[in-house]
Amino acid sequence: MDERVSRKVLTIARALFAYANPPFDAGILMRLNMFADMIRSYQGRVLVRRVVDIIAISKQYSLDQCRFDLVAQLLEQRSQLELFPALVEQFSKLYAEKHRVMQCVIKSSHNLTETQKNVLVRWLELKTGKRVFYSVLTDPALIAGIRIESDSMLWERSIARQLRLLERSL
Amino acid sequence: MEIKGADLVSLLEESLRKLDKGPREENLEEIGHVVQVGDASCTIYGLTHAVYGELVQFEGGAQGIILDLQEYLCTVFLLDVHTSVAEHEVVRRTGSEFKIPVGSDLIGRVVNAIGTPIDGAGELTTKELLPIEVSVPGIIERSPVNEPLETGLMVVDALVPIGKGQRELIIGNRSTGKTAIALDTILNQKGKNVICVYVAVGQRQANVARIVHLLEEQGALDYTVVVSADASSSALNQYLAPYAGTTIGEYFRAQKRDVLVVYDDLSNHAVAYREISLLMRRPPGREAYPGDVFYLHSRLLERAGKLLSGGSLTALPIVQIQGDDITAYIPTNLISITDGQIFLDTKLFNAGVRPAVNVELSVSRVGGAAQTKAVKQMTRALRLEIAQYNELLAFSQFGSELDLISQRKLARGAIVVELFKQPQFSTYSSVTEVLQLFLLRENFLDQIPQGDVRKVALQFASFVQSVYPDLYKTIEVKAAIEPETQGALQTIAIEFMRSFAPDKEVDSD
Repeated sequence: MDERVSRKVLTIARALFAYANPPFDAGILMRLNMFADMIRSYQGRVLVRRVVDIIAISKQYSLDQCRFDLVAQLLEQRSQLELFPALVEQFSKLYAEKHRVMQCVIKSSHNLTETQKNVLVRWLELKTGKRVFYSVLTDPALIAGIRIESDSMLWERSIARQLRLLERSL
Repeated sequence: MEIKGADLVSLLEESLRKLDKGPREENLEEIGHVVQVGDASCTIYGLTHAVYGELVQFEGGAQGIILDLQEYLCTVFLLDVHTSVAEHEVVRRTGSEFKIPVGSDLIGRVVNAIGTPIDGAGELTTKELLPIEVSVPGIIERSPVNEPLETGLMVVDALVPIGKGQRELIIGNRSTGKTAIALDTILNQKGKNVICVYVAVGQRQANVARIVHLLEEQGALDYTVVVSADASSSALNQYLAPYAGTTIGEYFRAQKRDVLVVYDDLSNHAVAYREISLLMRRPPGREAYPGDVFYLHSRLLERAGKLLSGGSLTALPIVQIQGDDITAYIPTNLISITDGQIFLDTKLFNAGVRPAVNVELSVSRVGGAAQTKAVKQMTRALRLEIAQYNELLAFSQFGSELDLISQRKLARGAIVVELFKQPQFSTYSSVTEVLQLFLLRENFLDQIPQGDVRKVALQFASFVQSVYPDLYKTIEVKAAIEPETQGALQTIAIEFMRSFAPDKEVDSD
């Protein structure tokens, strides 16, 4: 997506967010991401009444309060419905910014216990001052260690990182 | 070596234990993700707190510099275009601007724009790094330019003198001897305790290799650093190279050394910057250059100067013009920034006058302050003579008969032009120049056939040096021709001219 279009999407997302002003909801970020993924894969198929289906899916994900119906109709009128998934992503980022929510992926080389996960989350919340929502993945490529990644921050202590640094210095 | 699962788990728990104790030194790194790659640049989403000019590190090993910042996106130009960058790759901030290695280790080395040696002579051992963009010395910190930087080229030292701390532009059409003047100046700094930095921007690799070989042969590499961003380098490297060269020079100036930096050439630098700006979609201005192309060069050249605390940085930027048009955009920018220009004329070059310095269009705004008293004495009214000669030359081409005075002026001018011709890589010491100019001023050369003028003048200088070494030394030390020295020189000149041309009447008036 080029810069001009990105700016347009951001402008529309901001306007929609200011209008809808959704309250804090613990699961909304995950639902927004799933909704964006669904629409993206959905747009691969040709259907007759696309806006109606988008609105129906948003209801299924309990995203009525976000008022995506307004924007979907507007984009369809201008034949720019393909921007909708990017708009949902941008909306999700604005939501995270406003409610000081951080979504991150915790990757570890081995399965983490609940206690270990809680330690990580507590530390992240202290460090960032945000509410942390996370998903956990096991990644053997780390060899040993942990990698916490969100869209704007990264913390990694792993053997894979040490090897990368060593490779760079050589 | 077998890695045990239990060992890995214990390592993991160790790192978690450290977090649990609330370590203050554990920090989150701010990252972005690559959303677009192309044309040696990437667009990064994220890096919200990054600053302009910051160095960023890609997870795949590449490095880049942020040259454009928008609300959620930034444009990063890659330092090494050969390291691949993938979409969605993580990019970390380093928290510092781009820096290059500096130090005495760089003397005699050929490095690229990021400070990596490319001469195959091993890695640099220096640990010190300096940023390539710095604020320039203020007015109070500067000292007036009053010490000559001898180029060894008589026409330049006599008529367009350069001082230590000055910025003198070398401007000319292609193949008029611009680089030759810069190289001769570098060669002439041998034994004068001046560190030279030659910055090659957008040059052919063969050219750079030839120059390095020449400097090595002449022993100039012992006090020279070569920074090369040749034509095959990325636009970013060509953009960075002059700043890198200046930073290297400033390191030595901070040690109270005298430094000469040659930028060859700034037209290629402007073209590289134009390429970067257009890729960042900045609005093009005149000749498609961005609006801040003046600032590109002014902030570079303002870093030259002589400091009160000691040390100087002299800049010799080179710019190429097309078709002898000095009114083009970049040349006029540079003329207004610098403290004078040496204009090389294609017609003079083709006529065999080399160095092809057009004295009328060349100027040094520092002027006599950058000359020794001896040279100043010998070149008084010389510019006027040359101007009158050029005027009469144009007039004489109409074929009309000229009066005797005009004919004498023409003949004299022809001798001056002949005297100022100088072969490449053959520089003169200051005293040799003074002695030759003495002969010219005192009219000893008027009776000499035009073809022998240079030979006679040079032989006179070496005659004085070998037969009258004390007098030679006096002129060298005092840098002035005192009345008794003048009298002695007159006598020696008469004696010399008699022995050189015994059948001609020698008249010093």
